[in-house]
Amino acid sequence: MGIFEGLLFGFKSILGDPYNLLFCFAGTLIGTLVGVLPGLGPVGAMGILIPFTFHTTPLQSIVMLAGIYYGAMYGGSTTSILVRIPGEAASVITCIDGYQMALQGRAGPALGIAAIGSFIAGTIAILALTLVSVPLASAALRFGPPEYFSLVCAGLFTFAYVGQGSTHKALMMCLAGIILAYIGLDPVYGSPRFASGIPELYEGIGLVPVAMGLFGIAELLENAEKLVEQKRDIFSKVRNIWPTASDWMQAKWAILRGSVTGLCLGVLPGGGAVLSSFVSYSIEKKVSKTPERFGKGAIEGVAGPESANNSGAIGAMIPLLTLGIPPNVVMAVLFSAFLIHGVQPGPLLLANRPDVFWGILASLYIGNIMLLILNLPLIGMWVQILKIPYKLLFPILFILCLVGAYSVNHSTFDIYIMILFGIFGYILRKYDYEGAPFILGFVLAPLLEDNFRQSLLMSDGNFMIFLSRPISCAVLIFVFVLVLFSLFTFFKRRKEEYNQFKEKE
Amino acid sequence: MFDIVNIFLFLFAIFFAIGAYRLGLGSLKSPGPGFVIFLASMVLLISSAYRLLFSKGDIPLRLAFPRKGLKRVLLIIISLLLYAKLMPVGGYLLSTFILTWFLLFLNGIKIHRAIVLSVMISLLSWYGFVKLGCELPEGFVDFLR
Repeated sequence: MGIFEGLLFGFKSILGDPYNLLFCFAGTLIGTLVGVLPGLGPVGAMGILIPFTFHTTPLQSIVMLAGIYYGAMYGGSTTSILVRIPGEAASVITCIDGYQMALQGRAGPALGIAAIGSFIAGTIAILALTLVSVPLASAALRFGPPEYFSLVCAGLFTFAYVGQGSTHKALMMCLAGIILAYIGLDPVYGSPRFASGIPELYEGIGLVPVAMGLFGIAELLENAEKLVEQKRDIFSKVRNIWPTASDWMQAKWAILRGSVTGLCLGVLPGGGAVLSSFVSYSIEKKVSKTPERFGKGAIEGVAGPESANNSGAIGAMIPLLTLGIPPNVVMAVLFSAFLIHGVQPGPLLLANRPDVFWGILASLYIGNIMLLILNLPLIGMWVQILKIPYKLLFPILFILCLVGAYSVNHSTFDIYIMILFGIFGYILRKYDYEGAPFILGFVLAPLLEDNFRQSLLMSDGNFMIFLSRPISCAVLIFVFVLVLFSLFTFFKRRKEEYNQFKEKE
Repeated sequence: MFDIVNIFLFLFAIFFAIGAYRLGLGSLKSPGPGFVIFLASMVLLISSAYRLLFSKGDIPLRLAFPRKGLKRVLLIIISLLLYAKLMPVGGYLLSTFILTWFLLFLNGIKIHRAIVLSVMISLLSWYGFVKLGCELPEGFVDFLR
């Protein structure tokens, strides 16, 4: 099936079934709501909703969950611009110039350029995804266990390296996630590993309670610690959403640059929407002839990052759909949703489940248009939702997490697991450890172990198999260079610290 | 000044390394069930030991967990654990009502207002979840179904 026929097939499966369309709409609507409301990110929301998609088809489930992710990117800008509180992490940078524009009475154009920029960037990213995915999936069919093992290693290490905090801490979290993922039955021998005679642990620890604990409960506990209802200054009267001609002139290149930056960084492990928006902001500031306007309401400071986070969100789907390797934590949750529904994402997805593959691509085009409609004319509704006091939302979010965890297996054991990981996540945040590498390690661990053991079986225990195959060797050299580079930066920093210490003495 | 997460990871790595060794490492030709866990645990053990020995530590315990906020967090954790214990016995509606009321009360909402709100939240959420096809424990209020 060619790209054009495939897309047509995808559009037929989405538009031909009203339920598919409804799930696409529900995903974008919930995503926008998640983006608008501070306190619940897309990972938590997707984790909560996975159990409720058990009764749906794989396509409906994935279409809805993906809609939550890119929908949250759109919605996140609303709170950043109107309240200076980012609805989710990828919109943090929009607060700077977006809120300044609102203070100057230009909240409308700021929201307008954010939504239109997101739409343009989203469309560019979907086009790239459509064009790249088929050849990449065909190439990936030639990959064997050694190539997959090397790719997973590269993914995990790049994720830790590119992440926001310390690489050392991120790697430790990754390893902890990998180790915990092996609790349960051994896939080759069938013997229990670390199950301690607890029947619920024979199937391993589920991703949903772990992700909800680390991202949902931990976030709520952190908010609870300082829960004093803040008086929010909300710009509730938003007028003239359509940007003026001069706004367009200033923002058009920022949108295009943001789209390309987001797409490139979205594909990388550890990239995705958050990193894309930060990088895009610094690029805009660097290329601007008047960088002093940044921080004082520059429209490029809204257009660039908002475009970048949307194309980054969609770009992150390329490695998931074509290689079966999730590049960030949201994609890891989506990856587990695929597996729950019995669909293996990766190069065989196109051959085995073309309805799902092309259906997802078509839903992205449709969802992007839905989001433009949801975000521009309905901005007043989102502003009203922002006025709901957080102390009322707080217990509702807890109930959603608790019922979400319970619904996976209809067992309170998962609730205990979620609470345990919630406490763990809360402590991690206090010491600047990230939960995302833990989840990625947790999700990729089975893939890592299976391919590692298969490779050793293939080579009669010879480790040279990883270096004798060109793709695997190239990927491992890349990992080696990254390790060397991070060690070099680490020791350089230590030396600087030592010199500073000596100077003080 | 010490990093409790790092200490935890260090002990965690020791526990899993010993456990993996007991599970059996096998050979390179045929790796055993503990092989990969042992490798990962050893790398984690070395990483955390390095931080324990050479890192300056990050945040003092009393600054990381301010007393006032910590009390509230502990109360919430206890209420969540009690919820998980009560739900199979008391059913969704009763346990959710109690938890919601407590959380609202903790956030400074007056008792009678919190009662009305928690009844509404419990009933509406129950209706929503049932409509979504979620099977919730009924407890002794199953006559509502």
